[in-house]
Amino acid sequence: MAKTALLFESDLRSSQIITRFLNHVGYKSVLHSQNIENTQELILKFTHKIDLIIFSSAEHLDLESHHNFFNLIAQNRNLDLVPLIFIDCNPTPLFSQKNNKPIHFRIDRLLLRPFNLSHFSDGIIQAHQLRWEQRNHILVLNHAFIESNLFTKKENLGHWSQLHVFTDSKSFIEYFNRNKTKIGALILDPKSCDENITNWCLQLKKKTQDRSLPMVFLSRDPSLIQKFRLIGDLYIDHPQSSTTKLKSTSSMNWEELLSLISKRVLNAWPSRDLIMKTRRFIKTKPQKNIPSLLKKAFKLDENRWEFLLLAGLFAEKQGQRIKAINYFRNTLNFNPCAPLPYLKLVQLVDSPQEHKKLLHLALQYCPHHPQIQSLVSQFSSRGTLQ
Amino acid sequence: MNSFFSPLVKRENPYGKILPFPQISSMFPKKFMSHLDLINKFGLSSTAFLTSYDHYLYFHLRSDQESNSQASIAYVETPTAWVVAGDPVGPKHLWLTLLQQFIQTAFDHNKSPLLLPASKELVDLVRQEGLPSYILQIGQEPWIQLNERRHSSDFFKILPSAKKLQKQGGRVQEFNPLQATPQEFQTVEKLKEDWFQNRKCATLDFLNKVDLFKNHAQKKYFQLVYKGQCQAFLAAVPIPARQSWYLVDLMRSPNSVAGSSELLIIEAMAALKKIGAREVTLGLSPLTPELTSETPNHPNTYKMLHWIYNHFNNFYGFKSLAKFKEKFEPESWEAQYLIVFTPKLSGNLSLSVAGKSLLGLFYALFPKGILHTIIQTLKNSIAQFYPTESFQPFLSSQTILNPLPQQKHNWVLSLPVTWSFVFLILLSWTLNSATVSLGHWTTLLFSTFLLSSLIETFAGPHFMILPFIIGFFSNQLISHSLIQILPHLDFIHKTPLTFFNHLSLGVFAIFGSILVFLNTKTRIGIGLLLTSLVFLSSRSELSFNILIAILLGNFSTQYLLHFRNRRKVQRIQNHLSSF
Repeated sequence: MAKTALLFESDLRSSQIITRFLNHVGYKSVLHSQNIENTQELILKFTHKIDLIIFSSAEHLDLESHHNFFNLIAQNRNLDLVPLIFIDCNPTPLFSQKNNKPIHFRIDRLLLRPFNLSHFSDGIIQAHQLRWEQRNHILVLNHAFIESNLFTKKENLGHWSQLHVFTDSKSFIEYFNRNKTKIGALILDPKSCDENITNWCLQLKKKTQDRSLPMVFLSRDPSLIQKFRLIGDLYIDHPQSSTTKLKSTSSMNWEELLSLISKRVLNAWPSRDLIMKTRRFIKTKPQKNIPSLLKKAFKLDENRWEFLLLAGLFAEKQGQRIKAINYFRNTLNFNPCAPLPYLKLVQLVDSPQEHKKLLHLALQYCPHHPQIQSLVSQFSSRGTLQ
Repeated sequence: MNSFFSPLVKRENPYGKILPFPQISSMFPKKFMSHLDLINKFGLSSTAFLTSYDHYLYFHLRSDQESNSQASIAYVETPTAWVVAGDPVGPKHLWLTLLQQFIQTAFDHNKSPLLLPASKELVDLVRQEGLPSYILQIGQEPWIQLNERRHSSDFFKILPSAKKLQKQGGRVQEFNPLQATPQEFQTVEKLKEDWFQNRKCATLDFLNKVDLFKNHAQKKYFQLVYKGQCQAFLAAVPIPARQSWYLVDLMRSPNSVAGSSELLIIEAMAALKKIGAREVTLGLSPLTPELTSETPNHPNTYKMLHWIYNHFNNFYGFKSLAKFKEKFEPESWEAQYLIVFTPKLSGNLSLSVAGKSLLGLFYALFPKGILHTIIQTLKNSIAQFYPTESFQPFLSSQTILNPLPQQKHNWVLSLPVTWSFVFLILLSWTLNSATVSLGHWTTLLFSTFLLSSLIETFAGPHFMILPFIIGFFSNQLISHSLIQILPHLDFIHKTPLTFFNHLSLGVFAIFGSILVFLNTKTRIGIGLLLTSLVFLSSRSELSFNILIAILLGNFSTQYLLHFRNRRKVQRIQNHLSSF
């Protein structure tokens, strides 16, 4: 789904260049507005689609117009999660002349003219990061989980300040709707997910603004996560905890899991930028920039499965077979529902027994993937893969 | 049948500019009414009605028995030619006789007769009858059918900006001069003044003369009102014999919203359709390139016209006018011609006739003369010249710069640092006038103003202060760093520089700063030009210093660009979050 940005800019030339910049960083759809009435109209029409707002101040816009714009954004609760970038003009209207107070507190990132693409993309990343930093509540849906001792080692919990555990889906959804702007991630135990919460999760991922909210599932059992295989960001076996009544199936403990999700959330935008750049380079011939990009990526988050997958693809292109196999296997540790690692692994391993194992797993996690289905039918008819 | 040439009669509107509006029949002499009557009966071309304006002379064809004219030609007299405005008005079988008599009379008066715009029908007649002439297609006229097959909604589909404006509350109203208040007239007059002020070309006369309320009883007026203000105004003149209308004086406010003209035309067409109009025309699109059928006759002339069409758009908006008319997807485009009648049978245009005709055409369009036209065009061009706007195409598309101030006086006032620099240079000039020549000071002053104003407008004062200071002291920087390391560099100016030299190096550094914001093509072009100039001018001892100043200015700006959006922004962000 294309990302949509709302751009308030009265200067035509700047508007054209900013649109190009937005397209470059992944915003394929840009809503242009030149006045408050137009902005209001666009917001009413596309509230749920907007996931970035850029307001460009101009010499002819008075302080009242600025206030009107910010009030318009503030009044719309659906835009609470949307980052706002303020492009300043000279003289700046950013601070009130009376008391030097900012004209509005809603600004996530400021850009000073003149600026170029690199400043702009950094600005977008920081604005998104700032918005995500404010979303420091994490919700857990687990029917038999005891909360009390989870925060024993606070330094390992990343940026999470509150953790709320629910045992029934109704109160979970209610809490989410009430405190939507503060919630940064959802942890769900598939065993606790009834039909109601399953549908709710599927619907949530269709909304532009909630699409990026990470959902972590506490199981890697294919039969349990089958319904969620397209929406999950991480699939982890149930972590260890001294207080949990459930038996742990993972070597990871709760603190490590929360730290992992925190990293994923806070680095979401820089990671997205790196992923886009690396993909672009992998597709094109000159690949000398990829190692440095991957180095940066692993520095940000070494356990992000998207990075592991890209590293695998790059290693495969370089002819480093063993390295590529390791990367793809690691990818499947965090996201067994991704079909590409299976397809790549099948090509890279030689033994028919390995093929059989991989295809068996692939069929369990991605049963409807056409390429996997064709490989399975080929294997079952011939007993080998070409 | 006798014909007579009616002398020029200067007629003043006795009722002043606009108010009040009595019935036309009581206002004008009988001779004039005769031409208007003919228009009402035989007016076939779009321009026919416009020839009823005051500045025309009329050549009538009358029978002995009747005092009324049977057919007439409207023309203007210039020092070298008689320029006819459009086709003759009258029954078509009289056109040839009337033309022949007119041509003969013109030559008798030592004037070159020419006619524009002529319809295809008239051109065919002239060719068929072998009248010696030089014929040139000068444009096309779009005609829009107002039949059952095309409705307003169809126009809204192809012109979404008009539909949007209509949705936003733009309303088109008929303007009745007899019922309008003085305030409404003032608004229209203001609109007209603003419209003329926005043109670079001197005001055109002949068929382009705007006389809004002349013969108002037969015209229709429409205005677009948006948010309680008149945004655009349109007059429609009748083409009686064709049951059609010519949408002639379309004027819009410089601040009007997008789609104003389009909405006004669509709604005006709908209103005219209701009163029985069959079609409307938007008037001649001059020099449009689709002159295919006539091109083989005079290939070089058409090449020249095509060149004018492509390159004189700043002077007259040939292309924009044609594109605007094309937007309405007219059903037909009718060719329009210029006919220069020649005295010889050959039909070839002699140099003297061509000269006389061209001059005549010029005087018909600009009756106040060459000098006045040049002065007025220059005046308009200067009034509309915005140096920064002309500079915009050379800017980099990789950097978002400050937008242009909307009003010129705001722009001048928003340059405090530039004015300070200018003051500094003037002060230095008065103190050091003896040491450096007047030419050098003037060049420095002019270049300082130009470069500083550009950079201050587009990037802000920081991007000129820092490079200027660095450039000013660049010689000291070189002396204390580069020469210490490389003492054998003979081409570096080692002797102490004058204050003027320091100032000029500062200005060169500002130039280096500007290079950062230019597009690659311009940057390479200027860079190559400058480098070759500096190295070729072996006389200048300062060549190397200038290059160093430019480079320092360039680097300092790049650093500043990086610094402002990384660290300064961070500082402001922290300040913001502290509240």
